[in-house]
Amino acid sequence: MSVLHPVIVSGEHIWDRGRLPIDEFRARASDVIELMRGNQIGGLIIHGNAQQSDLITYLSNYIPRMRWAVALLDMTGALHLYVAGPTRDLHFLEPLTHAAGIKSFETLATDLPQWLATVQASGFGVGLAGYGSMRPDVKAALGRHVSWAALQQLDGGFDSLMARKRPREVRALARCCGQIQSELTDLKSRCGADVRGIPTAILETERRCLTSGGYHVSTLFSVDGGATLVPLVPSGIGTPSASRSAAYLAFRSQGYWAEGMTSIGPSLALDETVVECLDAALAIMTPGNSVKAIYEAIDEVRAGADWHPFTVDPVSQLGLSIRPCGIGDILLSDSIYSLKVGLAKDSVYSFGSAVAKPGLDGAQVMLRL
Amino acid sequence: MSADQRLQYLKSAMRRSGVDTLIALATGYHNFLDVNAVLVATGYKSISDVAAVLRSDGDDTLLIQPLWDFERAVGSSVVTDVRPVRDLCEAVARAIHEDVAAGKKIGIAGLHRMPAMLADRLLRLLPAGHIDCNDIVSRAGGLKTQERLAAAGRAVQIAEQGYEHLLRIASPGMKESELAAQVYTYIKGLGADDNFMLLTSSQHGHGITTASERIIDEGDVVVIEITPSVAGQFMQLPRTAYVGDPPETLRKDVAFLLDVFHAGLDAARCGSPVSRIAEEMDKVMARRGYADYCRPPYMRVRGHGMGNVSNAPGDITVNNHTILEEGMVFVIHPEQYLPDSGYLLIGEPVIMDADGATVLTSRPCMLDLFARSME
Repeated sequence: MSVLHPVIVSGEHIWDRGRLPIDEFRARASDVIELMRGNQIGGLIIHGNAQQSDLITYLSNYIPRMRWAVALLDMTGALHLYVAGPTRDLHFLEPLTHAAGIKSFETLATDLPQWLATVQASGFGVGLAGYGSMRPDVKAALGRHVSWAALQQLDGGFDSLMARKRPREVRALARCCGQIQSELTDLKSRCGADVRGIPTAILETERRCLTSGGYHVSTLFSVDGGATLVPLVPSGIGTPSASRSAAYLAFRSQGYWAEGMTSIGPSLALDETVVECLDAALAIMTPGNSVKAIYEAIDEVRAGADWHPFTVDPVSQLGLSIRPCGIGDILLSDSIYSLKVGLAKDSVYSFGSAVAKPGLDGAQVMLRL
Repeated sequence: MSADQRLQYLKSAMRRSGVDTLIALATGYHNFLDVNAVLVATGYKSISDVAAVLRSDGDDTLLIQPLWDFERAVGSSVVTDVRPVRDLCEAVARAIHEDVAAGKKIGIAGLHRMPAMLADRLLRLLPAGHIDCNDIVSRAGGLKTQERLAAAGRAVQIAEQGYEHLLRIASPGMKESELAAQVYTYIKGLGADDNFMLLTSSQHGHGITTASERIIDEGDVVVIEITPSVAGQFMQLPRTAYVGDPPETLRKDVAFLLDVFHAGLDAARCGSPVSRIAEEMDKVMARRGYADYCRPPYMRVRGHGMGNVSNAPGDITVNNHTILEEGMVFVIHPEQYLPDSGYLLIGEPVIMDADGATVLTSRPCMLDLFARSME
């Protein structure tokens, strides 16, 4: 879900060796190397930035707070990180990752030709992941050393690998879900039946999430009864004018994102319809089922209410990023999905959400609001 | 309002440059060292990849995503034709189709900040000979409008209030990240729409970064950059505080860096190059035998412009020969590692006026003490 991105993400970023030990990253690297071998690739160039870093974070734990980073991975599993930013501050990054030799991005100009020569001497090709989010000026800097046409894009294979969550990833996501469940429940109770204080309450939610070890917190809320959702940007906020509101919270910790949303204020009949929509969707959240089937299940019970524009893509895959699913996507057993339902009827709006892991015996619900 | 004036400036600059149609592009990422072309042209602070199509003598269009941000875009943009789109590249292609067919001259700004996949597609649809308009967008952002100056002044006020709050609540035993979170949300509550904030504590620091899990304790030097944004105008407050009774060497080093700062401040004159500020600061460093410390990793720059609407005059370095002009707002900071005290932050946000650079803070920079450490 896109929400206003801050100039720098200033929450807590650590490498928790208890929850994500080095052998976890070795196992991930081993899977990626297997993927590389299957594609006749001997070395992989991986790009990420503050907005989209999942590939680099998956392998290194490191998240760029600002600017970008490039990682080089070879068949031995050695991972080298090149980070954009002042050389003065590189030493601060060492505790955040197991990657050997964190260097400045500028250094890549001298290291890359030698690394490429070594990979190519092995008779294998060179792969690239994360190209889509690369800025043209970063692309130009890399382009002085690589031939783009010769690089094999490996994003698809990487995405398939990351879609299937490893046990430690499931636990990281469960912790994020727990935080969201608790914060949005608390937000509802703090606002009570009077939503005029929603901007202040949202700010308090952000503060609590950040002081609870959150790396990145994004919120949206409504001052017009749920018709629109806005970020907490003071110049754009009016005084709440309706008796109801809605809040959206995305929370990232240890690299992992979860999201949830809810209506706030006195209950209305439409809230019951949202509950029924969520029940219907969760009931068919089984591996192999399609996102299209979820749309259809919700359509059957939404009782003439319209989809809210905010939830036109109701299903997203959670992990190191929040990726909205296409209507043709198939649900995977080892993946975790968020489900957001927003309905509009006669100028009344209602929202609900869930996070679940599809299972043959039904969805394992990790968050429900 | 500022965005109106910027839009009118852009249109006349387009006419002067022979540009009929300008495509301004931006992402949802707002870097305080960059210019956001869509924010400059329309006043809309984007959530995702967006484009404004401006015509020197015709109608303008703002193409936004996601769909649900439409009302906020309409409410904040001076371009009234706002269209939510699913595929930005396709929407831009449709918007400029007739201009291209009519042989209009196309200009573009902000392409270098867009994701490669989108930038590649956009480049394919642009006619040969399109004109780079980043410079005129940057000049539009730097217009000395009343609203921009008011936003800069308010951002400095918020930074100072945030810093005073930090000095009040910080205490030994507190995690850096907890302190940063408290200050971050406090500043947001004062009306900032963003904040570039760094906070590092140490007994002898070698740089500054975002707050970590380190617990602040007696004898720590805490270096802080608070950089709130108001209406897209960032302003920076660099400060150093001490936990406890500061040693004499630290007091002397801070006083010395204040001398370095004042040398830079005095050198800032309209019509002079930016490089002169850095040269004068480096001279004071050299006189004390610190010439070798005037380069990375001991420092980065001697200050910088403040985006997100204009980053003029750019980084304050000996290599920047941009001429200082009235109305430029930036920060002068001899942020610096010194061998006795470690990394220290001293500096002030300033505005260029006819008499030179005027400091915008109400309380001058000094070595501060955490209130609670003295209890």
